[in-house]
Amino acid sequence: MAENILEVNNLCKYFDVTSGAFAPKQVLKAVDNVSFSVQKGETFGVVGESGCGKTTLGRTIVRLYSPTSGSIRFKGEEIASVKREKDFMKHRKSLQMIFQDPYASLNPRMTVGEIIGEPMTIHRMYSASERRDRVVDLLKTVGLNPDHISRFPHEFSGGQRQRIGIARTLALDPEFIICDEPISALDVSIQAQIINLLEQLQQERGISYIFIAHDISMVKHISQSIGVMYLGNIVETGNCNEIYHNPMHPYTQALLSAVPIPDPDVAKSKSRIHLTGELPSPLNPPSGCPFRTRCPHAKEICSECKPELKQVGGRKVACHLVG
Amino acid sequence: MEEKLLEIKHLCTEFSSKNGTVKAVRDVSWSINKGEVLGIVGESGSGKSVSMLSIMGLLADNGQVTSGEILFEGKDISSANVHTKKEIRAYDKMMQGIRCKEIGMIFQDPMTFLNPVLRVGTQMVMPLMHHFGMSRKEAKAKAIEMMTKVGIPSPERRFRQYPHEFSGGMRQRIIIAIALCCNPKLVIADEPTTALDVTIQAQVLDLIRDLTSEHNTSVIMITHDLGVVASLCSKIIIMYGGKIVECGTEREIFYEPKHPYTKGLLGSINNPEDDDDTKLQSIPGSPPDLLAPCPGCPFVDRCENAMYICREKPPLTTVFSETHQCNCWLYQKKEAEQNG
Repeated sequence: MAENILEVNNLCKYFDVTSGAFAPKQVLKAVDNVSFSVQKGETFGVVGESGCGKTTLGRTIVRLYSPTSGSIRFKGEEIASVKREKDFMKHRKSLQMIFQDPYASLNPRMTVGEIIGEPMTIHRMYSASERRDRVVDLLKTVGLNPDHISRFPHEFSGGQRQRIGIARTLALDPEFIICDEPISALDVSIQAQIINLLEQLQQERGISYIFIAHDISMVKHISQSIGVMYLGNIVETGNCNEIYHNPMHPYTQALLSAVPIPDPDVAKSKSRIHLTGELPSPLNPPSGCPFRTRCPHAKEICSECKPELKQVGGRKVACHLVG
Repeated sequence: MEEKLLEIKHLCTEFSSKNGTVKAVRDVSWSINKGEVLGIVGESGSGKSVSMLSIMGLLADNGQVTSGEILFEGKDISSANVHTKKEIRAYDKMMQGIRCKEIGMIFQDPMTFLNPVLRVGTQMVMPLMHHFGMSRKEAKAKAIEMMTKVGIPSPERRFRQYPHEFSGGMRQRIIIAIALCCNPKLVIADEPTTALDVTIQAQVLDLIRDLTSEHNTSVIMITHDLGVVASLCSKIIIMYGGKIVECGTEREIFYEPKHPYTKGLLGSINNPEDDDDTKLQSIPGSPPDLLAPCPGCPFVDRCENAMYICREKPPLTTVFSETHQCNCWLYQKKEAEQNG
């Protein structure tokens, strides 16, 4: 049994969205009571629609947001309760993030060399000349031409920029990377390049990933286990292939049946589960099960109490009607 | 013989920029029959959206259709020979009669399409009043009927709301309602679901399919997602670097792809039905620079089978069947040897 590099227990992140001094207090529960663990060298995929809290989850784990409650144990150490940024610095090195938008996440006024070298400068690693050598190495690792070191981000295409972002992430030799929709802004043929690069890095360096995406087919390709999120909650989590071939939660079933299959024969024979309605507002979530407003099987109990994640076989499902 | 609704012959569109002329669409020809669903697949910058905007006469000021014919029901509606002020005025007038009434359009981003300061209802009745001379009241009744059809709950109340009060999926439904309210013969859907979530995407695609098959409307579906075209389209065109590289029926494209780019595209998407751990084939390199395209095949820099001639001369069309054509030198070996 491989050791868990990251354990997240009952993590909550609420945002105060009260508008105006006398308005009633409003709380947006972006991440609500989420628990999962990631093994060393493994990829954990997080899927869900926009607004389900998957990006907030990723940002809370790297402490770009401080959690409202719950615990995050990274390599056995509690990092959720660390208050000061100074104390968190040692974890920063091994806990890194790749961002969604390769256009917004690179400073347009810095050269590629400066962008990739900056994390090392901040962490006072290596001498100036060693840093330069490392930047050249990193550029080669991610498949960019080392001669481009003094170019600016606007001179690169989307896929190349995402490679620069990956090189910056790798500068500190992290053990754990959170990939927040790293491919959704890229063209199809470029997406495969980035996925292959991430997989290759994982094999060479034993990095663990959390891979956040809304594209379930890519998540299935890269991850060993996945968590399906809906309105801030994980509704089903477990082995990726098991969930894909036999989804238990009604939301997972609907999500999987909506995925377009690039094969005309399969696509035409596939039956769809039609979800009616849209995602409810997270400001005003439904009572009981968050999915009950769109669930085709909703019963009375679903509106009364919220289902907990229960162990069903090799996975966990949060539904009253399963197990 | 099926009737051709829209036929495009040798369309070229260029944009002038301060760095030179961008040849966004280069010599593209295709046609669509009545009641057919045509998919145009390509990456960003492949010219798929620009060819649609050329049809609709909605190009930005620096864009110009330089040559080619666009035959809609046999009538040329291209702006290639429109230069003088008088011609421009006549062209605009003609296009106003065609847009929405004959050819409806569904855009990628519903928020930029809708006017944020006008009520949704006002925007829905406008085409009806303009094209059919309906009174406001009649138009409102028709608009509410359309809103019910596209599945918007409580349409009477929604009719008076502003676009920002709608969610992304609902806005896209409004746009579909606007595009279909005049019963156009052709609907051009430019990445209608790219901005939407998968579950909403499935709803919107079903809606487009149901509503168009009801009236035998032809649909041109522009997308970069091969999964979307697989379930919807009967005929597919693959574009790359402003040119058509391959076209065929959906079975021919998915099961017998010929062009290296089509093969690469199919290899680089993960089919979730396959069991895992087959490595994705990626296409190395990045899309071509349309400021200075090479005279040969646009895909040559990323093609693993590239030959000397690929760089020199544009590939000839190889015909595999009545519907299946591919522009690649690989299938013209004899010609290739003679030439190079």
